[in-house]
Amino acid sequence: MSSFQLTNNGVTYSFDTAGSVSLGGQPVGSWTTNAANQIVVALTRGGSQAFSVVWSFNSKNQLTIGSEHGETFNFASGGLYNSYSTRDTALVVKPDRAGNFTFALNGDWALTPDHNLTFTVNGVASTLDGFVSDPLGRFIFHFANQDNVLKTSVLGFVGYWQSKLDASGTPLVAFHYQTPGGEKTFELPKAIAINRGSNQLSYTYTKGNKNLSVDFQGTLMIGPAFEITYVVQPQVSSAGEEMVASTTLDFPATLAGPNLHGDLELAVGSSTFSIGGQYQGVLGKSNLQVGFTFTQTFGGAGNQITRTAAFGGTVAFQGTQVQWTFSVTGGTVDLAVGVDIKLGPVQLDARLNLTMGGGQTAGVMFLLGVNF
Amino acid sequence: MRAASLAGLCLVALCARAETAQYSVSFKIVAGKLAVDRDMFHVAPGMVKFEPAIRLSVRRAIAEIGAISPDLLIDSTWPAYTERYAKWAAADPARMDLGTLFSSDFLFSCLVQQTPDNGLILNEDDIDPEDGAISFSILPLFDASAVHIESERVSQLRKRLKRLNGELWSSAKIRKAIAPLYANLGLTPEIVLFPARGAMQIIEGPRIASILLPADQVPAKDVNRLLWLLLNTAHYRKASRKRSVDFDDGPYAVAYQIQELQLLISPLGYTLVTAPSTRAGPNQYVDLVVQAKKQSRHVGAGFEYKPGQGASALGNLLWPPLSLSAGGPSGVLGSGAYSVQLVGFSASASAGVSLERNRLLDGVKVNEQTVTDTITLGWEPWRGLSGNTLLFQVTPAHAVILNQTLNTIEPALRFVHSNLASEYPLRFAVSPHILIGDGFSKSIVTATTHRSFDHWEYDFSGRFENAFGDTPIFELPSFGGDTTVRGFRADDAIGRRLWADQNEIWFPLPRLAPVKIATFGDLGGAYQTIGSEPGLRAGVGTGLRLDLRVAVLKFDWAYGFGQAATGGSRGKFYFNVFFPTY
Repeated sequence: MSSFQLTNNGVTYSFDTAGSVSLGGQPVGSWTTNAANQIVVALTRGGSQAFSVVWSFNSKNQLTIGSEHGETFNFASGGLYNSYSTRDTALVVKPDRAGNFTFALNGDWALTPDHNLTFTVNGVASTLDGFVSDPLGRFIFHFANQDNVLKTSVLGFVGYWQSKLDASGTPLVAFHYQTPGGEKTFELPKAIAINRGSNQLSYTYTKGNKNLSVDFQGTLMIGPAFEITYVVQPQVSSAGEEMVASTTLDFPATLAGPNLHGDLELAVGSSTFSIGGQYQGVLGKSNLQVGFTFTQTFGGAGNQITRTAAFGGTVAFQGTQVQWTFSVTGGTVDLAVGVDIKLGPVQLDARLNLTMGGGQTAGVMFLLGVNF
Repeated sequence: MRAASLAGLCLVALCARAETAQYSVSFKIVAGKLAVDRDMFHVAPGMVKFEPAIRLSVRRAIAEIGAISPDLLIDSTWPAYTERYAKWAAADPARMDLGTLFSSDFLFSCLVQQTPDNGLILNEDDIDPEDGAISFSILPLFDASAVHIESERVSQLRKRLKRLNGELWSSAKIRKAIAPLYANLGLTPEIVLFPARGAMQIIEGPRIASILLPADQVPAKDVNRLLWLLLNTAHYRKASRKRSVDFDDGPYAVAYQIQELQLLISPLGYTLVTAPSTRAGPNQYVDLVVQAKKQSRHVGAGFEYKPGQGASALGNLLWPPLSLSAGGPSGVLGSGAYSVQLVGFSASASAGVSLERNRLLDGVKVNEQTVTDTITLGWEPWRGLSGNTLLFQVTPAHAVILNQTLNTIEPALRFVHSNLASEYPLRFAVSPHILIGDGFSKSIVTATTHRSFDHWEYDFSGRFENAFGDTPIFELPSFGGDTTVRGFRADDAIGRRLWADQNEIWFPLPRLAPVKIATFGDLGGAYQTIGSEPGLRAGVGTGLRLDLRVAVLKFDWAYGFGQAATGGSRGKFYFNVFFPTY
């Protein structure tokens, strides 16, 4: 069993990774950590002693104890499989994954631009080299002992997601979590997008040789002026504890695509959200409109929702071209006659009739896959 | 303080998991794919019986995972494989290390996103790439009262889910258990299940955002007439003359109810279409748009069969406000009607000739020909699509029947109560009317009720007729046929007083959703009879129902018990159609 020594008032105690403390080879108590991250010995004979140490992770994601003279002890030494977790944002260390002994370290967390976590204990910052990824939209950080990449750990945080556009117009999401000092955030540095396969929000990035993602689950709504609303589903840990609370994310959007084929391409700030589905003609309240039908999947057989969003706008002749003009932005998209739209004799329903360039009236027989 | 952790679940989870059933598996490699090498359960005695099912679902889920490396399609123990893989990965920096791959984000992401049925939740913090092992928490045995349900019908859903109590969580069984509720309501819900948090979100169906009556489709004179038919009376009063009626949280767009509305407005020359609304929300919203029919003339045809009286054909031309019918050799030979509908009021004038073959009146077989001129005036003070509707009618008529002239007037009342949004939808209708002629009268009261339960339905109907004064024999209550006691044909008894009730139980046929099988028993009596014995008669039988909700086609066979004036076979077939709305 690995052990380390600490000296206080000239007395050197030996600490092992199962939580026992000995003096001169004789057990004298057990150890843990306190709120100030000191190692505290509870002596069997009564009383306790506290030792101030420097906690940090080395460049191999291994937890060490150090002093002003350098590294005193490496918890991964001796082939131990350390296990890490978080509880109330404190890092809970289990020196031996197979054992029962744990202790906690209190510090501050931060996410770096390259998706590493920094952990600052008593002013000493360490960087954990890993990645943020989860198939259910939770904030979970994965890392491994770099000397043995099969020794992995995951850190999960409890909180909720919020969205924003940064100064350059990039749609971002941040994970908000509570600490004893108040609410803090992990800001994911890259743009959020929509996975066109599942039509769920997805944060994807590449790190090293890994394509990684945080895949959200929620309900996507598209308003008549293309505004996007996404209601994040709550998520829990495997033990059933809530990890993500439900929030509503709003993204202002405009139509980005130059035509009405294939995916719905929406410009959100400087990014583009691609939503898988198909356009269709829709008979609106007072005129012909364009709609878009899409299906969201939530994993699992039958777990899906299908919606048709109807957009505000008008289909009309402009010069020699049939165009769809958005009611909100005034932007236009050309409709290819014979492909997107088919014209014929005047229809009984005035909503289907267009006044052409020469003043004649034509009836819309077909618009974006729908016959009228 | 809310922060906890996934791995920290280790601590929290160790406590929690001490109480939670667990299933652990360790892997070996077969043909480069994961295969279960050993497994272990840690479950309460009551859960032991589920172990084979759990084992099977995990093995199936694991089998769905592809080869770990395309270049290592070998059979191996896990430790040996990790060594081979490490060398393989080291040969190319683009290859992912096994520690990253053996995680909930890659190899096991499908187990997180698509939880294996039987309520198995992957313990992500227990994934152990070094030993090639994973474990699952097994959700507690199903408890309908503990499931988190996002729906408007929580208590109704819990009631149906209760039968799954004590079983493993099963998404398939949950969907099956709640399906009858929504089938009865005519809804096609979107059901999203979240086993990990024991939750389900049910979006019950599209809602109606607005009813629209575009000016180019509906002239101003028709707006209120249509709104009267499309809305409940209370809502109509607020919406009068509006071309756009918006609902805050509108009713569900139930297909068969929209079809019923289409039938109601069809005589006015209109139809209804649904279109996606620009309103966005958790539900899909649709608008109901009234459109003038492109083709206002409709031609229809059908046939009728009456035991002992033969089959006859009928053709109909509907050309609002005119309706023309012709048929033969029995039934309507020819008729025409002109109808007008106003807000709450209706009037129609009709004239026609009909023939009822093989009537048996006091032992004499006759073909009864009727020439009729009638006017029907209706007043509907109140109507509710799902609620109460009251209709008064009066029908003065001039008829020549068997060369005898009759001038009659027939006041009638019809009350309909329906509760279609109930978990067990109910329709009830009662209709008393009285035929008053010169020196005679005949009162008739009919009542029907139909209710659908999850796995069966009942359909009861009753009839009472009583003749007073010098009622002509052909107007006397006639016993037999599909409106009284089946197993008898019309005129199997003719008397001054008659009662009958029909009691049907319907059961759906598996995998043939609109088709139902019916068993029934009818009972009735005829008294103060002419040419037949007075007293009770009964009929039992079975049949098929093609239940299209807006219309029901009935095919029946019945056997009659009791004296029948016409003699002949006691087993009789019946075919008819009825429209529940009317």
